[in-house]
Amino acid sequence: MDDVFTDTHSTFIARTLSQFTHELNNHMAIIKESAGLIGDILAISEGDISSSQGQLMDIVHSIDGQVKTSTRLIGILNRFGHRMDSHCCLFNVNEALDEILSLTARLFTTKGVKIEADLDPALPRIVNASAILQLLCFTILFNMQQRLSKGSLITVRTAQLQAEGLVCIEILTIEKFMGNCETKDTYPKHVQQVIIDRLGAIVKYNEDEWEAVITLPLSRDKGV
Amino acid sequence: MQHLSVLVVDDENGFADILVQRLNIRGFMAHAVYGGQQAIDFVREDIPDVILLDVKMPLMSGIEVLRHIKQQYPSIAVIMLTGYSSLNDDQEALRLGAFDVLRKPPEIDVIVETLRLACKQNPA
Repeated sequence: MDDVFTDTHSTFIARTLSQFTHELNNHMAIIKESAGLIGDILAISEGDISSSQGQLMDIVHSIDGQVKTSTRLIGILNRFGHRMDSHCCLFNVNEALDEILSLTARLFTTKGVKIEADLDPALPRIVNASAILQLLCFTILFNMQQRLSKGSLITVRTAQLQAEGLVCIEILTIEKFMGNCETKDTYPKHVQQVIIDRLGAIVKYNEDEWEAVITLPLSRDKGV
Repeated sequence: MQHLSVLVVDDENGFADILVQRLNIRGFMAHAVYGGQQAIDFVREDIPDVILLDVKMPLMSGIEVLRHIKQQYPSIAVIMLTGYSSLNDDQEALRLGAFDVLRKPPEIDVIVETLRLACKQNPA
């Protein structure tokens, strides 16, 4: 079972990195072309840039915006990597979710599926393995989007079950599914179960699997 | 060759818009659209000499657009632009009749040279 987990986690990291580098490369491409355009404008202005000053400032602002976006993405990837420093620690579930949705957004948008987050700002922090929780959420999202048509929406919600001292993550879609739950491209149930066991979580699917609810204890040691 | 018409198709609006400006400075008549279906709609109205087409786009991929263009308008030269696409995408694009596959971000001189070569070998 360790091999199954390691393989699944490695594939997840590879998928995340390929999406992230693609996204970052797009920002770099815009920065490179923007710098090139400044060079072009300077070359044709033959020293008199007074008439192009406004356009040049717009390009400089655009480069600044691209660098800010790229820096934000790099920060997210850095935090994603550091989640694997410690197996179990106190973390904010919303931040872990937000991170994985940002890093994998391109994978879903390329397939025409939009993901909307509705995260409870009052959610308490929990003690568990945040990297493994990200993996679990990704496998559920990935399996859902495999069965959705272009233009579909998946919603990710978080909430606290105060009486029980539990945290819930709800991943759902109101769209119609196409095809079977398990295909050669989806993460099989027995693989998901290995991940769920490592978290000490419970995952309940409704009929036809258009909704998954992950329930987590506030501390991994307490169990659900 | 100074007024070749070029359609730039890329879901990254910023990249497409700047590339269009740089090509127009160099004497091309370039236009940008930001999606596969938009590209197909555009070509229906105004056939360009060359299309610069991004491979990875949401809703309709560059490969799907290429397949459609080559079936309906085989005389249009298509150059694919790609970030880090898989080798399979490159091979599929060339098999479907793409003139070349350029890695993003390409040097502007490489784009200009490839556009000219594509038009020479594929005169409309």
